[in-house]
Amino acid sequence: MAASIRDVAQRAGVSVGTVSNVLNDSPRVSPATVERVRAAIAELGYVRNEAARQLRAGRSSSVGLVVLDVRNPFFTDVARGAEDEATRSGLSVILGNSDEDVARESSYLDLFEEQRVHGILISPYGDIEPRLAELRRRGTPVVLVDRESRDAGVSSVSVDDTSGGRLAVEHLLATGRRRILFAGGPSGVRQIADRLAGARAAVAEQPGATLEVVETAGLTVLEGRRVGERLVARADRPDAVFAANDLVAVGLLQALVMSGRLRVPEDVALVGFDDIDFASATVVPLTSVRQPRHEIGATALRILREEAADPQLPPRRIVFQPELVVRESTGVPPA
Amino acid sequence: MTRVGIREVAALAGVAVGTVSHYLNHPDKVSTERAERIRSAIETLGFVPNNAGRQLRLGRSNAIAYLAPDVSNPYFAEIAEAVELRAAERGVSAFIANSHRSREREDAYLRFFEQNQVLGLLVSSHLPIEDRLAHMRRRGTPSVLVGQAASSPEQASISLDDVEGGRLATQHLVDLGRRRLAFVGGPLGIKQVADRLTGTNGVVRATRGVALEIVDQSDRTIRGGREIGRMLAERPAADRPDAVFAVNDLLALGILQELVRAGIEVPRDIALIGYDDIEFGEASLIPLSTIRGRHGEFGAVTVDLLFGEIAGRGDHERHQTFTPSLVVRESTQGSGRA
Repeated sequence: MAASIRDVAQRAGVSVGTVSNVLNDSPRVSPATVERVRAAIAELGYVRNEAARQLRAGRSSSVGLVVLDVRNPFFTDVARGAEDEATRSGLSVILGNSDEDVARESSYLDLFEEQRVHGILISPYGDIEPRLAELRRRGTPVVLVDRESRDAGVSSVSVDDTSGGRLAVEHLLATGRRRILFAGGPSGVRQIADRLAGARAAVAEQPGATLEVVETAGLTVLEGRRVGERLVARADRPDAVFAANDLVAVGLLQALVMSGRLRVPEDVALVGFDDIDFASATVVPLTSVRQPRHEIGATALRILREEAADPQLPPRRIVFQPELVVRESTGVPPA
Repeated sequence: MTRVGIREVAALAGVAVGTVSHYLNHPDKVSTERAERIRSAIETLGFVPNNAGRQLRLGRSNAIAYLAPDVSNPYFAEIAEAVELRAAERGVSAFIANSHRSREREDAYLRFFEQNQVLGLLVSSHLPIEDRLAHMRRRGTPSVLVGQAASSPEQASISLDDVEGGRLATQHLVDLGRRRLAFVGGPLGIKQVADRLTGTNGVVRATRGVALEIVDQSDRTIRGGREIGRMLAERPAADRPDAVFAVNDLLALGILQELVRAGIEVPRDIALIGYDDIEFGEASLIPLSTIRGRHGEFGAVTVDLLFGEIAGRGDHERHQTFTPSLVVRESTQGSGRA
């Protein structure tokens, strides 16, 4: 049986109120008493019941962060930004991986609310804005990460994905490519749809340019490899590929190069999205669209903290502009 | 121990039981003055409102937690994902937290998870942590050490035979005829790193004419690998090793990048093998030979072991060791195309 605050009081020979004062760092307790209480706490292995304490004090010092895919370096970098910012203010960050699953996303929201976290950062998968607005109304601050808030019921920190898609494809067009393939999916995910919309807009402005869309089941290396293998087998090929993220691009690159039949960039130019660490570590370093990942996480946490301190603050929308990072995978004009 | 109830709180605060209950569920709907009296009474009595929230009703939250040094390393991210999947199958959620190799953060998260009464904890750490876990276990939170063998028989653990992994990698290089080997990694205070080196040393001692250079690199990331790759590339060719064993794939990928950039052919000039078999190793343009420790069921076995601990059945094998296997790809045995 876990030791209670009463056990601690009894062992230290003080009142429960005194133990409570020590736990809350009250200056009213003499150093000698503090010492005695601390000793009793250590001896009994007393752990303050956080759930109970939070009911009294309000909120915990932890922030919940729900990500779509804990294996995607984009999210681990966003998490790092949030963690670094959290540390500065004595908060900590707990991750939940929704794994692009509506039910899991929902259960993390439940859990974080039950834990009375300081607030929730979420990169949403399902259509959950109404639910998030409700959470906010009940007193848990929420900030959307990597998706712009639709109805402005909650704050959001995102990247202009449409502009990113446009940047990527305009770059391909500027280097002389005309038959562009977009690879990514599922198309229902907002970020992916936006990147595709940007690509379409750029292609529409260039006479003679075409855009082919290959929808994938997800944004993974394996999916990219599948697209690449099919591409190698085709007679009528695109001269450039815009992959919806770097993982897909890395898989594509491998399939193309390992086939020995297609050269990157001579035969097929390739652009990814996210500029993860591995993008520059591939042997044909990858051109990519960089999002300020660390900054996204840090900014989201800052807004969350401000909203926790002042629930009356109106929701804000912060949209970062992405930038193009040109490397060898688009380095030369078409062969 | 007598339990303080909501009645005692109400009596001390001079309000109705219903008001206390109301306060617990909707603190903002009770007048400030009453809320203050109730809060003070709760504090004084050390009341644990076991009807306020599911977690308190059940005594425990419906979640487990995985505390890792850094999930931006795909090795830990893959474990995290596998753990999360298995947990979901078992109807519980899994929290993930990063210690970033800081003792302070690690302790803060251990405290957080214990205080929030998770069902149990999975912990990967590069720091000595068994004492801490033992204390938590005695206080009611079971745990499984992930990725290193526990020294205490009481501490459940899932580990990899890293000595065997180091042996496999090195034997492979030696079998390919390589004789000037470099071992890249550190610090040797980390058991996983030291064990891999022990395996390497065994092979080196057993094989005539093999020289081993140890290159200390504690920054076991792509960036750290690039540093070593540049250092090797700057040496005169005759002073370079003809094979490199990097203690993880991130290091190996960084080394690979700089070697290729410098025009050194892999594997012809330098054969390169990593460790962990992360997804990017296979996807790199010279696919990376590596040591695969975990198998498909690693995450499931880890979570199941934790549930065995939570149930306290005591009829399961507390220490499970996975035997690694060699994965041969182009970086040691390829045509050398780059």
